[in-house]
Order: sequence, then C-alpha cells, then structure tokens
Amino acid sequence: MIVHPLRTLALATLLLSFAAATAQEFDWERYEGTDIRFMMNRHPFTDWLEPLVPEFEALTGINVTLEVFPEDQFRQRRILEVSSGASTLDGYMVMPGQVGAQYLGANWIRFIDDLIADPSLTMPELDVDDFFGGALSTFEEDGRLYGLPLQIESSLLFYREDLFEQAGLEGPPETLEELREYAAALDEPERAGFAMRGRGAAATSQIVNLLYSFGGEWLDADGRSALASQESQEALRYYADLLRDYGPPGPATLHWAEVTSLYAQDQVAMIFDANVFRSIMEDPAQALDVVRENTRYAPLPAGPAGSVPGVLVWGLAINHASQNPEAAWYFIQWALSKENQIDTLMAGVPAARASAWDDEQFQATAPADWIDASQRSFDMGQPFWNPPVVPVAEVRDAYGLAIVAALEGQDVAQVLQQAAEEMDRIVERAGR
Amino acid sequence: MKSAADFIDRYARYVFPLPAVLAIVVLIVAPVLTNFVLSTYDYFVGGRPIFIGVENYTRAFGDARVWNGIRNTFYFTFTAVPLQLLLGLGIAVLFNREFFGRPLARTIILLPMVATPVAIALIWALMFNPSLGVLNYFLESLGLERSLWVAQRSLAIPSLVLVDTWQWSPMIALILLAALQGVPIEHYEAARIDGASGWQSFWHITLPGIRSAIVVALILRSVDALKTFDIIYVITEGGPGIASETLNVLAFKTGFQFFHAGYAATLLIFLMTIVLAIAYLLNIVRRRT
Repeated sequence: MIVHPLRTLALATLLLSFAAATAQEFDWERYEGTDIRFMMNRHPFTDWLEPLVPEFEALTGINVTLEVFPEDQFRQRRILEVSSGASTLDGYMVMPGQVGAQYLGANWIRFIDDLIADPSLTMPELDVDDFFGGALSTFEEDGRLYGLPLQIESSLLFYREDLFEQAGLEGPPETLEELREYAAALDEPERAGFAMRGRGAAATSQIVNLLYSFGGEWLDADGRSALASQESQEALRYYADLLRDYGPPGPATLHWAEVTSLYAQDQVAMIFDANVFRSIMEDPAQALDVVRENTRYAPLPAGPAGSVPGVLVWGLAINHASQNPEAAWYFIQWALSKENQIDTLMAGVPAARASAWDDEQFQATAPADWIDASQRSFDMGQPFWNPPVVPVAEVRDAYGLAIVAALEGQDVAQVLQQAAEEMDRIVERAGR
Repeated sequence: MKSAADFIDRYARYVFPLPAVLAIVVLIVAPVLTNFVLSTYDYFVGGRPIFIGVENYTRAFGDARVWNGIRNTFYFTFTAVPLQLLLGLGIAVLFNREFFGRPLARTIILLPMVATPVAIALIWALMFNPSLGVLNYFLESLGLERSLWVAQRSLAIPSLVLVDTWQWSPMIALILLAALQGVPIEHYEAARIDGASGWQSFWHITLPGIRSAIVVALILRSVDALKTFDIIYVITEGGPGIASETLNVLAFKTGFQFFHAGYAATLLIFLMTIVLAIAYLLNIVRRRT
C-alpha cells in the first residue's frame, strides 16, 4: 500500500486536535521523576524483568525499585507491608488463587478499572482481552479487575504414544471414563497405568481438576463447604479407584517430584500434573530416552461437567495505599505489554497473553500438542485451584486428609463429610 | 577510668557473669515468655490478635489431632532411643577394643551424625520410594517382598525410627566410648583372675562403670528425639495422613502454614512441658546412680 504523506499528515493533525480537544492522550513521560516500589517473588518472571527495568526508566523517567525475596519470605514481608498500610509500597506480585480472598477481604488491593477506562492513563495497545480467559478471570471480582496476570500454568495429561500403540489405543483419552479404560489397558506389574499426586494437601491442587470436571465446587451458594456434595464424592471416588487400581504402590506419598520421576523413569504410562514439567521430560539427565521420544500431551479429559482444569496464575497488582497508583499502573502495563510477554515466554515463563503463545518464534520451540493442550486449558481454566477462603493451607490440609483416607480405602462419603465439617470450622475460626 | 576499674573490682561477681546472663535472658527467657503470652491469644497472622485466656489450652486438650501428635511423639522417641542405646553400646564396646583400622572405622561411623539432616532426609526419602527406591531393590534381591515403607501408615514411624537410629546411634557410641575408656583395666584383670566370664565382667564391671554416661546419653537423645523435626517433615510431612505427625510437626504446620500463631504457641508449650518432664525424670535417675 502506498501511503500519501500529505494525507497522513492531515489525518494525524486532525486526530491530534480531536484528542487534545476531548482528553489528554496517553503519554509515557507524564509521571517523570516519580519513585515507585514493587515487591516481587524470586520467580523466573522476576529474573527476566529485573535487567529490563532500566528500559522502563528510560522510557518514562519513573524510578523503579524492585524488592525481591524468596517465596516464603516474600509472602511474609508482603503481608507485613500491606497490612500496616505502608504507603511507600506501590505494587506487588500476587497469586490470586492463594491470597486473593484474604487480600480482597481486607481491602489491600486497589481495583484498576478506573485506570483502564482512562485513555490518558492506559496505553492504546494494552488489549486486556488478549490475556487468556482463565488468567484474567482470576483477577475479576464482581466484574471488576484488581490486577493483570503475568503467567499462567495448568495441568496436562502426559502420555506415552509408544505404549498406546502397543496396547492398541488411539489418541489421548477424551473423557475421564476413557482415561480409566486406558489406564486399565496400560497397567502392568512393572509399569503402572496412571499416576497423579496423592500426598494430602499437595494433591488438592491436582484433584481440584477432577472436582470441577465432575461438577463439584469448593463452596456452595451460602459460602459453606461443598466438599461433601454428591459431585465431590463422585470425583474423589473416581480418583481413589483410579489410583488404587492402576496407580503405583503407595499413592498417598506422591508429590509432583514423585509423579514426574516415576513417569520419567518409565514406571508409569500416563500422568496428570503441571504442564511446566515438560522440561523434565525433555531433559536427558532426568528422563529415559524412551520417555523423551514418546511423550505426548493432552488437556484434562472431560468429566460429567466437561473438562474444567484449574489454572495457577501469578500477576501484578497495585497496593491499596499507594500514593502513585498511576505510575505503578504504567509499570504494570509496560511489563505485561504484548512484546514483553513474548519475551517472557521465550525466557521460559508461561506468559498469560494468548498473542505471545501464537508467536511463530515461540511455536518453533515447543511441541505443537503441548502448546495446543496448554492453550486450550488456559482458556477453559477455573482460577480457584485453591479454595477461595482466607485459611487456604488449613483447608487444603483438611481436604488432603480425606484424599489420603480415600486412597487407603476408607468410605468416601464419610471422609468427605468430616472434611466438609472441618473446613467450615476452619473458615469460621479464621474469620472471627 | 579509675572509678570504672574500681567498680568492676568491687562487683566482679556480678559483672563477669553478666554477658552470660544477658544472653540467657535474650535468647531463652524472653522467647519462652513471649511464647507463653502468645499462647493466650487467638492470632491469625495478618489479622488482629484477640486475647482469649486459656481457650487455646482447652481446645488443645479436646483436639484429637493434638493427642495423635503426642502419641506419635512418644512412639517415635521411645522406639528410637532404646534402639539407639543398644546399638550405640554395641558399637562403643566394639570400638573399645584394639583392631586393625580402628581410627578409620571410628571416623566413618561418625559420618551420619555430621551430615546435614535435611540432606540425609532427602536421600532417605528417595531410598524409601516404593517403586524407584534402592531399599526395595535390596529386599527383592534378598528374595523378600517389596515394602511400602513410609507410604504405609503402620510403617511410617518405624521407617523414620530407622533413619533416626542410623543418624544418632554414633553419638551414643561416642559418649559411651569415652566412658568405657575411663573404666579401670585392673577391674577386668581382677575379674579374670577370679574366673569371671566375659558376660559377667560386662554385667558387673562395664555397665556399672558407665551407668551415669548411659543416663547422660539417654537425656541428650530423648530430649532431641522428642523435638525431632527435619527428618520427619522432609520424608513424610507427617503422613500418610497424620500417621507420623508429631507434636512438633503439628505445631510447625499450625504456625507457619495455617498461620494460627497463638495455637501453635500453645502446642509448643505442651511440647516444652513434655520435654522438661522427661528431662527431669531422667535427671532424678541420674542423681540416684
């Protein structure tokens, strides 16, 4: 297309005068000289971000201090600062699935709808809808947004194509019923058919995928535990039978490290765990050749309520007490821009923008079925891989005890009834 | 300056112990008191502490999980420590004799004790793995059945006892060996002349000679075993379920994972009481010997 210089100039002048007449237009240098402070988890995203901060400072003239701590320390410091109302902290990294309920309940997070709605404060190319549905919905509360996602993870089915062929099975299982049949067909004395986490509280982040896909929920409409529901019982019964019949010995000790190493060592034909563990299956130091060469990926098979994976999302949010919410918002927009999210993804962090995953350069670096299965999971994802309550760890622990008891063959209805009652007690206790 | 020197001279008996007293107050008395105060609060970290008096204590007495923790603490300690005493005594008696390569063997036997507990716990966790672990490989090559080790409720604590015994028997051996070397050789010579058998001289000379060392070793090991944390947390996290959850592990989870600082403080007061009571009882035994 040939662009006529004069016409372009005229159009630009027109647009400029129009913009000037209606509102101030977006200007990166508007908050030049402002100091902002962000608290970050020592996470691969932070490792990627730190060296690029001078770029942002050069672009905007805003001075950024990143305070980075290892995860446990990061959480403790963050809660200290936000609960004290310290106004010098402008923003932080946050995992809504973990502390969202607590932080929202205490009003420690600033909603960002007003910032997004203001064209003088938001870059025109932000494109909020570009973030995966499952990632963005994590930051939604009553239709309002309180942050933007920076990365998204979900769990996938890892399976061995060579073993499928030997057993005469075609393609990945599409439903949970099929998954059970496949596990039965693949199960051998020397190699289990299927494995996923079983170690109490650690298993809840995985079994929640089954809970949702059977139509279960963490809480009922009244905000009380829904773990004893019919759907939840069916999910746990399915899970326990699957692992007891076709799982490796001692399923109640399986954490992700055990699940992935059993699979990497050819001890199990299919596993369900976080998609990021692809790196283990591609590493010759950790996975046997036969595993590296034959591993394929598929989304969570569908249950009676469809395929509803839980997604794990990290993002950036603005501190409620920040004196510089606009400058903090500038930083968030820049850090999560389309170009930067591609860069993030290329650095090995599962970025939260769909456009980044569509990037050709990235697509050349990962198996097509893994990308496809991941993207589908991110779109379908349910953000609450953790219970949406304040005492998350304690509730996970209570559910975890039920999971272990079910794996040991105890009555599912009974152990879930106990877990539900315990969960209500825990939530009540933390809320007084 | 002279007056300062005078002052020190005059009150030397107060001045010299002062650093030690300060250290004890800051490092022991203050934390224990703080912990006690904390135990009277309902404090969900991040929320507001609410004074509730003895409510944490009444709750703990009725909490089945606390009793499970106490039971497991005792089960672990009173299986591990006697086993370690027996093995440690055996090793000490063996090393009290001259044999080729004794200095080297003595160094090697100390290795488990000097290794980092978390590191050895991680290695044991790998070895216990029912599918990939080397322990089941050994069992199978001996023609035995595979075991589930820590994956089975009834075997979880015995497996942990195995690790603890492997790690701490050498310490008991070390203490007893020092004591053995203090038993006068003349007693044995006299016994031999009187025609005593090996067993008799062990029973009537060796054991009485090292009795107080045995009690010291028992006190040190029991107190330590009661508050074992690292190997249990790393290998089983108290599982399967709560089958190997000791009071200490439960208190850690309550405080640092569930964020109930007040209740965790209460559980630690329970643990401290148990530890002090057992140390006291053993001390009485020691004074009698």
